[in-house]
Amino acid sequence: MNQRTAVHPVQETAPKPVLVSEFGRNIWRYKAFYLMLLPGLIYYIVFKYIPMYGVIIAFKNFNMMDGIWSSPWASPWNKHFLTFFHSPYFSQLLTNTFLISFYKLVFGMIPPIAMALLLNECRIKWFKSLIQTLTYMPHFLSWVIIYGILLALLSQSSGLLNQWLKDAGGEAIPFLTSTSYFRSILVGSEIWQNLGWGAIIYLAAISGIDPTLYEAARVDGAGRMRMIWHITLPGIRTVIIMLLILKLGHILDAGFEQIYIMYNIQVYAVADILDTWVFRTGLQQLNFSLASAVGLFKAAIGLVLVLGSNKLAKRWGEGIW
Amino acid sequence: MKRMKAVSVMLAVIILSCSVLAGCSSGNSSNKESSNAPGGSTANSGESAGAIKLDIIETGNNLPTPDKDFIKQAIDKAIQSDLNLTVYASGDDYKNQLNVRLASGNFPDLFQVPDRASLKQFVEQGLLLDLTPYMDKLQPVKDFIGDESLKKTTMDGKVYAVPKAPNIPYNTYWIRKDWLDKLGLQPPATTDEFLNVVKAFADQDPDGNGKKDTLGLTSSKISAFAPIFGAFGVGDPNTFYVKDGKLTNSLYDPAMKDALGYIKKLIDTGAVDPEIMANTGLQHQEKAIKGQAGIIWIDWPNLSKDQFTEQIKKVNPNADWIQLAPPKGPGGQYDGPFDIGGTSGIYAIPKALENNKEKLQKVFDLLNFVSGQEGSMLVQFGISGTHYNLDGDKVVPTELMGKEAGFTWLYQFTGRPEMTYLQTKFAPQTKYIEFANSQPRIQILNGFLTNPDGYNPADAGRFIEEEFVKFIYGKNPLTGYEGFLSTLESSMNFKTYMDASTKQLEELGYGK
Repeated sequence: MNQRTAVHPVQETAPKPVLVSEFGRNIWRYKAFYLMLLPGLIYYIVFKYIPMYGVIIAFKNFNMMDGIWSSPWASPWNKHFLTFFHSPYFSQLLTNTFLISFYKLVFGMIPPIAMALLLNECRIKWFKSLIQTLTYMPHFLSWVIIYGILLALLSQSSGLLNQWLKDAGGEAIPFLTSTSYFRSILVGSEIWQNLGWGAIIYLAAISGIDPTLYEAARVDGAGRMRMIWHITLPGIRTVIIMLLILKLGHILDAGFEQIYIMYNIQVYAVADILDTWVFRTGLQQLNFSLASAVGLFKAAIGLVLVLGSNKLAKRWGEGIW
Repeated sequence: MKRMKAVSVMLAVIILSCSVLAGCSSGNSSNKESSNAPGGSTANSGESAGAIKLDIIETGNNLPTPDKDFIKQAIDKAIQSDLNLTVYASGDDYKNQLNVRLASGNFPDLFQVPDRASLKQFVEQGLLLDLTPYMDKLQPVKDFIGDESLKKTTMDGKVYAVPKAPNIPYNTYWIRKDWLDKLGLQPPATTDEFLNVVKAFADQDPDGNGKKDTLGLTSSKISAFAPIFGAFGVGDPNTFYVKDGKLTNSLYDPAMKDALGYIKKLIDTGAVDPEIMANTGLQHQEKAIKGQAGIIWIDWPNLSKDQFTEQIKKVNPNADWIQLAPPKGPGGQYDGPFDIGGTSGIYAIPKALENNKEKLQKVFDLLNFVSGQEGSMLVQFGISGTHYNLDGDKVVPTELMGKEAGFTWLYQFTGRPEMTYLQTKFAPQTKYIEFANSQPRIQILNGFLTNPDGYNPADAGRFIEEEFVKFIYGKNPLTGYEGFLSTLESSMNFKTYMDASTKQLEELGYGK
């Protein structure tokens, strides 16, 4: 950073065309790197940017035979957005989406970090790898299987947990069909699934911390807790913040697959999210325009959140933590 | 340094060319598909050489792989085609797949349309081929399913699809006879007795294991109570029927409140499967087979087919499931409603096939073949001499039919003569088939309806189901029923739907 600013003033006195050719010369000089960059760029252009033109169907009455270009424009232009905003379930959907996502974000942040710290402190190698394998296995299970497991454990009529409760003289608890438990089950199962997987990133970050810091601390007489607090945690701070920002961008993705498999009519009031609504109303009934309007709405909010939180994090970066 | 540069350049070139190649090859394959269709004159080329490939998708299960699929092979031989049938086990999945394929222009050559509402959407989108001008080419189909049936797929005077010959109802309550005997009870004949039996099944330990671990009644979703609605003379929620000469929607039927009151009483006993609203797929069947529930509302194949009776006997050799006539109530005695506007399947051809005369003709050939004598026998019973023998007019099944020919219905694109088919193929189940078919049922008309603009059936359907659940679980008092109706009308646009539906049904001559 400082080096470049030191060089800069020298060039500033030169006339502009030179700057341009300087840019060109730079490209030429690092042509191998740019060439290597090219496939990635092409990938993004072809698969991420070009398909974006399809978003215009959010403003059209999409007709399959006419295709994207020839479908008639919606009138008024925001017709599909209005349909969505005026749906009697709009506020409920938004609340559910935000809440479920927010819970997952908040409650799901600490466990993987704690897991990574514990694994890092563990000195018995085989035990460490055993735990690591066990905890990240659920990540590879599909939600259908996890729901099957949950059903076997939590079902009100035949679940293991409820059998125990009943045998102990208690009442069976409707975990999966009651509005008061359902969100906790959603969040809990998500955390369970991603605990080990999430810890991997933190472990990697921890292993990047300079070991001499620990040695110095030990010489100064710091205990393990002190070292975690003053070395490990600050060391992975940037990773934590980065992951948080990335997740914020997806705050309107509350986990379609999981909820679609687990919800039922009795818990719609607390579980129906934007994506499940779009699935039922947009995709199953051929309202593709409506579906992409909601998608665009989600993307816009996600973008604002990512930019906003990034700004906030930058301020933190200077500040206390 | 120089060498490293060279290596990186090479790498980049390799990666680039790989992606370019990949792009080309995928382009190739799609080219092949489209160029395959018009190419090749099939006229006399015999076997698979010039056979036209037909892509067909529908809901279903247990389709064997093509090399074991003797129906496909027989049809391919008869009409010189190369059938490529794909089936989806879940209706929701199928709907999704179909919508995605249609939206991306990757049309199957023949596909099942989920229901009449979808048919209307497809027609409005201009996706379906108008079959009216081709009707003379489809004469065997017409003869097979009858002109009356074709009305179900007619819109604005044009035939857009082929409906299967009408089905018969399969569902009834089934009850554990051995549990009744153990508790010294009679099969319940009235709603009051029904309530007692449900309660007794949960409280009095009918399986005798000393634990209170049985359920009185299970099924999937609100249809668990279909015969109860029938006992009060109303159809399932949001169904149309003619009652006392008047066109009625069950939601506005005064008896609906009474039915809900009774169902609430049932649920209050605590003997009804608490997960009844969460059971999806065949979870309720599983509970019945495992001996967890004593009464279930289900179709006869799913409880009396050989494979299931085997499973039931394995869990408990004494288990004895019998069918139960609908209990009598204040509104009469009706089993679950039967939709006279419904079909057991609608098959349509995409408009895109219009310009591909040869392929279109092949689809017609296929439909005509499975409607004709030879083809119909094939898709009903399998191969003559292998899976069945003819004794005069009577079809005598061989042992192989039960083992191998269970999937042939997947190829019955135009349906089948229901009763004779079932009695031949499911001879041991004949009495169950006849029982289910002979129960009195409220004839509902929803199959004739299409949704008007501005009405969102997904939202309204959810609202109705959700509120019904609240009523029967006592979360909302039944005094709020009128409030429910007015919310339904004001925020779900239900009035528009009611008006449009009434108009459509009156045009067909109902309730006049």
